[in-house]
Amino acid sequence: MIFDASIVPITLFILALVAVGASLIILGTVAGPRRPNPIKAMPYESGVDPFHDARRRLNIRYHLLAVAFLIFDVELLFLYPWAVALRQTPRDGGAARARAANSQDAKPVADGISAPAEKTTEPLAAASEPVVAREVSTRRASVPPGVSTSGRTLVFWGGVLFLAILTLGFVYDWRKGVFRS
Amino acid sequence: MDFNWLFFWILAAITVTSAVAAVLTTHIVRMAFYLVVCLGAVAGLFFLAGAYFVGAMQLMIYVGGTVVLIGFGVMLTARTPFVRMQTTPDQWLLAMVTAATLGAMLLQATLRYPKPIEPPGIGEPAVSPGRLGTAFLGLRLEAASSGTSSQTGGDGEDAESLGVAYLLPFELVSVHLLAVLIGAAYLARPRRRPDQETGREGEHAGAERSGPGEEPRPAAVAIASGGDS
Amino acid sequence: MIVLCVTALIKIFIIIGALMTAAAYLVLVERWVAAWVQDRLGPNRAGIPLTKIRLWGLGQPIADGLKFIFKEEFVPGHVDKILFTLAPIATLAAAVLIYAVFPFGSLQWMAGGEPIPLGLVSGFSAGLVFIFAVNGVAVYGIILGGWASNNKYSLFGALRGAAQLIAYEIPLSLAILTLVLAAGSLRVEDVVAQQAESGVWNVFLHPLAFVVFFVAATAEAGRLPFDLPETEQELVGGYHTEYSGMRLMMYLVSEFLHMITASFLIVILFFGGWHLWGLTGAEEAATWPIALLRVAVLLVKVLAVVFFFMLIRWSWPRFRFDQLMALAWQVMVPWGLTQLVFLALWLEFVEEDPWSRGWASAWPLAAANAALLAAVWLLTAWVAQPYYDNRPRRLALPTKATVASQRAITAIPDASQAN
Repeated sequence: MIFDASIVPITLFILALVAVGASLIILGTVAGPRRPNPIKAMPYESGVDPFHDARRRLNIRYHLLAVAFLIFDVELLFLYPWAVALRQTPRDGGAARARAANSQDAKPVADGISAPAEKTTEPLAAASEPVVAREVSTRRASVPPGVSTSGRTLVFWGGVLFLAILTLGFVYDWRKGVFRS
Repeated sequence: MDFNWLFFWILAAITVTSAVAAVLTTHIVRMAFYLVVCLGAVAGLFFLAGAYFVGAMQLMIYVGGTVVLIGFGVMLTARTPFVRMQTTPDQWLLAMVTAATLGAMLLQATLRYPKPIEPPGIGEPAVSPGRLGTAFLGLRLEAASSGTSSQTGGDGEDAESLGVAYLLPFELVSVHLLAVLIGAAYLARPRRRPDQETGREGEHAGAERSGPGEEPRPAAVAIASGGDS
Repeated sequence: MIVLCVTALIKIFIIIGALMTAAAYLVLVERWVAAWVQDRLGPNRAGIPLTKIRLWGLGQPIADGLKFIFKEEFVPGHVDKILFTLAPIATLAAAVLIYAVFPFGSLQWMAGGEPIPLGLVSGFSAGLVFIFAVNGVAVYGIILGGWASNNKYSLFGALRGAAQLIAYEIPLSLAILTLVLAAGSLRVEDVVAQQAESGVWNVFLHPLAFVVFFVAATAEAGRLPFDLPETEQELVGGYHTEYSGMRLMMYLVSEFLHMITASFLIVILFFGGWHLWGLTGAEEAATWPIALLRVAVLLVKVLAVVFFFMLIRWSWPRFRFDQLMALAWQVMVPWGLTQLVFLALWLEFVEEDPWSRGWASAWPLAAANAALLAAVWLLTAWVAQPYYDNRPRRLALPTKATVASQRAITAIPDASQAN
């Protein structure tokens, strides 16, 4: 099974960070004094005795802001692939594509929609040796047969429509005062 | 030694343990924390499978967004009786049925594939964001080749389905999000009729009527209004 | 595999060690800068321990660290003990984890060999999204800590902090989206490479995105004009009111790390990363001296931005919460959307690859974007004229009439009552 390397450093990093944090707290516990008293254990309210529980009901607008945030977060989730796709979909096989192909030459990471070219040119190689086939296909800077000018236009206007609908919602919320806290 | 499986088992163990903990705990905030760990480990599984974008988005949307929403919900509403959640037997039953249905769906989807999906290679994304974007927008990807289809999930027969246009669902998503935004705005309706509303809004209105110079509200409410106004 | 783990561990060791040291000494620098701005001396006493050598106060971070270690690791009686301990760990972990995907350039070990990337995880194909995902986890540390403390100040601090962080994540993402659209990739390295190859930094190409990003990054770091989560004058210590000892130190360190992260991001995304004209070259891989030079260039740039952050801290008063939210949703989000749509339209209808030939081809876009920034700024200033009514607004929805009346009241402040 081919191994994916990125997860190893990240997992080790997380483990190391948790270990560092835990050991810092342990170090503080061991090295510091321990002199508890009942006054110290009270919630700090600037010297006044606390007069009711801290957990009260608060204004709902925080929750609405969180909802609005979530909506825009999801919107951006869809826009990230759109932005990448827009740049990697050639309009006329021009500079963007050449640049993408060049940059992929230097790096092992094959990206973008260059993969479709494989099917038409080297199906057997692609089937047997995927990684090599991708290397080959990315070096080819020609326009894949399935991708046409209309594809680029579709990508562009699809994203713009998506944005426009959400901007409508944004404006509506604005008018209704969601963002006025 | 196959380290891929080692990491898979580590992440899977974290996922399952924290998921079980989230189900079993009666404390809402701790439940949310276990949920964060669980979803984070699932994101790790996505990374392991080479789906970097999906993994990062899992972190961004669920951990950074949805759980924050849960946290806000708890912080805004919770008093002690709500923090300790006791699940009644009928709720257990309903949850079991839902979970069993979902589990069956996932199991069926998993068993459709005869062999485990292989990650594409070192540092290489299974589905690149650009591909994902073009797929969203319905650009026909001339029957994605077998070289990539083995990574995107499935064997040669399923490759054709990659060319399906998702443009309509893509735009429907935005309409759906629009509906949620409008719903949120409807919920907000801040202070249109302050006199008829109860609770803190009413207190605000009272403070307004009582004129300057007086401060009828207790100190804690004053802090609260300082916190959000 | 073993090699991979060992290399990763060495890098992790370097990153954590360097960040902790950097945070400790930048706190000292911050205090020096504060002293300089306020025309006083600042910390200049602590030197080598047990001697009388002062060393301009360079021993101060060591003294601070020792003080934190020997403080009582106190857990108040009313808190949720498990979450109270987990929250600072999660915050620290999230703050440092972001550094996993920062590119420091790469090194050609020997001629013709594979270039060795100088980051922990390089070529991470969704690096930019990863940064924001981990940033989102940091919000959770604040919520958790504030809620677990079971204290009113902590709760309000956590609420404000979480609302602020999530609100500014949207403009931050929009600014990033502009760069993604420009680079056509989610890899951090590609954004740097694009700037290095063309020699045109993004700050010149997309000034509006830069302004949005800078403001949002400052807010995400919780630096002073935006330090609502821990307004000392109102909320004592904000979400870490109840914390002490090492747990407090972890919160403070992660806060400081957030500022360093913001500086790194600003430099990497907008100021060309390791690139400097005529000095570092533009290729991906480099020989030993060039690679070290690049790291140095990157760090100098980052320090410059950090210094700027410190100056901001002592120059600006804090925003009120409603101003903060208005700035995020009513100014920064529309600005970010404007920049994004403008760039998309430009790339679609004017020129597809404006930076392909460096400044020679990039200047129209740079000029247009600068004009866009000016136009948007002036428009915002004209539409949203400030009014200085400091009272919490308790009136009904502000129709034009109420806003006008409030303005009228403000125009003659209490003159009638005084008479």
